[in-house]
Amino acid sequence: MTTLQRDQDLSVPRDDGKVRTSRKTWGSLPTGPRRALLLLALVAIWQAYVSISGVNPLLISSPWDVAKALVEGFVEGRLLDATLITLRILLLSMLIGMVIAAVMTTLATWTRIGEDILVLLTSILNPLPSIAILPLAILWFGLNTTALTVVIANAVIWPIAINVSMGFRTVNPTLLAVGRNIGLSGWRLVRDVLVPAALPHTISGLKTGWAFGWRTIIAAELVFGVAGGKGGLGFFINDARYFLRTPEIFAGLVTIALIGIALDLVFSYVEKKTVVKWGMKSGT
Amino acid sequence: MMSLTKNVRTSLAVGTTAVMAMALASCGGGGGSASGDCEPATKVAIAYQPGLGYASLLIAKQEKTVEKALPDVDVTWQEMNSGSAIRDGIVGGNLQVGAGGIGPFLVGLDAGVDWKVLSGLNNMSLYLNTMDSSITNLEDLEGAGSIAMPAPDSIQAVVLRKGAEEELGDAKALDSQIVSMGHPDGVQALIGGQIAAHLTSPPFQAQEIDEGATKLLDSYQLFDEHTFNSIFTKTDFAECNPKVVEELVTVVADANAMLTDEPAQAAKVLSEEMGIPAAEVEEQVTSEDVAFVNTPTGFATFAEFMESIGMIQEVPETGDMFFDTEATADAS
Repeated sequence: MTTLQRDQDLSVPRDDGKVRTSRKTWGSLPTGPRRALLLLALVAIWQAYVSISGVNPLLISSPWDVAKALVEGFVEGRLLDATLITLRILLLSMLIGMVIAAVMTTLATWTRIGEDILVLLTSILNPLPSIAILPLAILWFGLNTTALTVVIANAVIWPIAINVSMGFRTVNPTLLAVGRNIGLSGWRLVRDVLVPAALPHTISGLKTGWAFGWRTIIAAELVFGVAGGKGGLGFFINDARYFLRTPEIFAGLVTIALIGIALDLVFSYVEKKTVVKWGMKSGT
Repeated sequence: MMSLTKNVRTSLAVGTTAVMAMALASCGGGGGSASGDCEPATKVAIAYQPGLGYASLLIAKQEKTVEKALPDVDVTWQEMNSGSAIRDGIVGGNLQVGAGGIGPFLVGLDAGVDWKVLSGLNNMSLYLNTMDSSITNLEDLEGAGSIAMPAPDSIQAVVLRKGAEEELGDAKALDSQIVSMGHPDGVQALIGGQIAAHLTSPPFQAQEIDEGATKLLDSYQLFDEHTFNSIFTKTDFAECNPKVVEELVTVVADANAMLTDEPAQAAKVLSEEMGIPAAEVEEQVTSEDVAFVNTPTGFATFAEFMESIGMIQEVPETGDMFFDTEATADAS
């Protein structure tokens, strides 16, 4: 507070422009450098802690070792393979989940019984952490990728369905009326009016769905290395733990975080190019 | 203006440092105990796994012989599902003494865990079993489904790889089929048809054979007679607690003597702990490929094979594997 006070006092004799130019605060730095600096600071603290405290390297690896493990993992291909396997299962499950969610929400918009079914199923299945059905999926489908796909599809269907149907229901009635007026009905009304109008909700549904799916697949892979044993990232982390390769555990975690950030950026980009550009949502 | 920037920066830095330091200290704190100053432990947590392979410890636990021998120490017993989990506990400082197969011990030693074996617990043959009548050898098993075992670094995994090397010419041929499961879960999964094969230990392998499983591998045929489980602890703990070490070795020797000389009596004690009828336990305890001996055997043989397939980097010296105790005089 005292600092702010002094700033105000000092700024009195100056004209506005001068104050603005000399105000080189943390907040006036562009976002990128600001966050990069913080990240650097965190990594520095991490490295310092490991070097100074003499902590057992089997418990905490230094950032340098982690970076080495990360590079080796991708160059040798083990970490790369694991990442690709995880992403492939995730994309397949998301695709299945999206199709099912699309069918269900379309039915729910068309018919009253479809809506009832959707409401009932989402209220039963959405609060259930998807990983909880893994034991059942293993019993039904065995220890294989099918079980994983089912669990992850289940994780993504409900958030997508809820968001999309919310999008459909909150479509501006005027738009709908205009659509009907020009003779649209059924599928064409859904395709040409409802879907574009519900896009902001659809995107946020996909975002939530992907986040749920991503968490679930890592958790599921930790429970069992996918049969056919060429496991994904969760398996990679667990395997590294079994052989006490602690830097690889960290490298796996870093990879998971990086992919999370990358996909978030993709969604932001899509939003910027569509709903933000169309003025349906303010930019972030 | 600059002062504001600086203040924000400093406070940010101080804040994050403090938070990070606290977080790190709380997770790393367990590991650094008893390195410099040497105070005898007041608490000893001993971890074991399910099965007959831990019979000597189960008898000690049931008869409270460790507690009686060490009245000043708070002894706790913990059952865990794999040697890897026990190793995590010891590395993290939550466990002081662990019991497990040769695999996790050697992998840990190779990765830099400063520990050694106090005493062997037993020699046992480990079987790879299948319920699928169309699988008669490892060639049939290849690609046929999952093979369960406690962990990919367990002694069972070493046995499977040795079998794969001898029968299929490639030690890693079956690696992609390995799934990690505790012994009891593996029995359920094998009988329920969830997995193609299970590499386990007594008494589970015998239960599976009773249910109609057939044996595909027998570890004694691959490695000759070898130690199954042993108990180990970190060297700094052993240095600070010579009495605990000495008593543990004695307790195991006594329990093993009971298991060998009075199997009926031992079976009665075990049957309570394991929930299996005493007659059945006695049959298992006296089975010919089960021997309750204290001298560790076969560690070097396992280490050489594990080194040859890259599970460990180098074969440790005998002196680096075993403490100098009454049990380890002729250890190999």
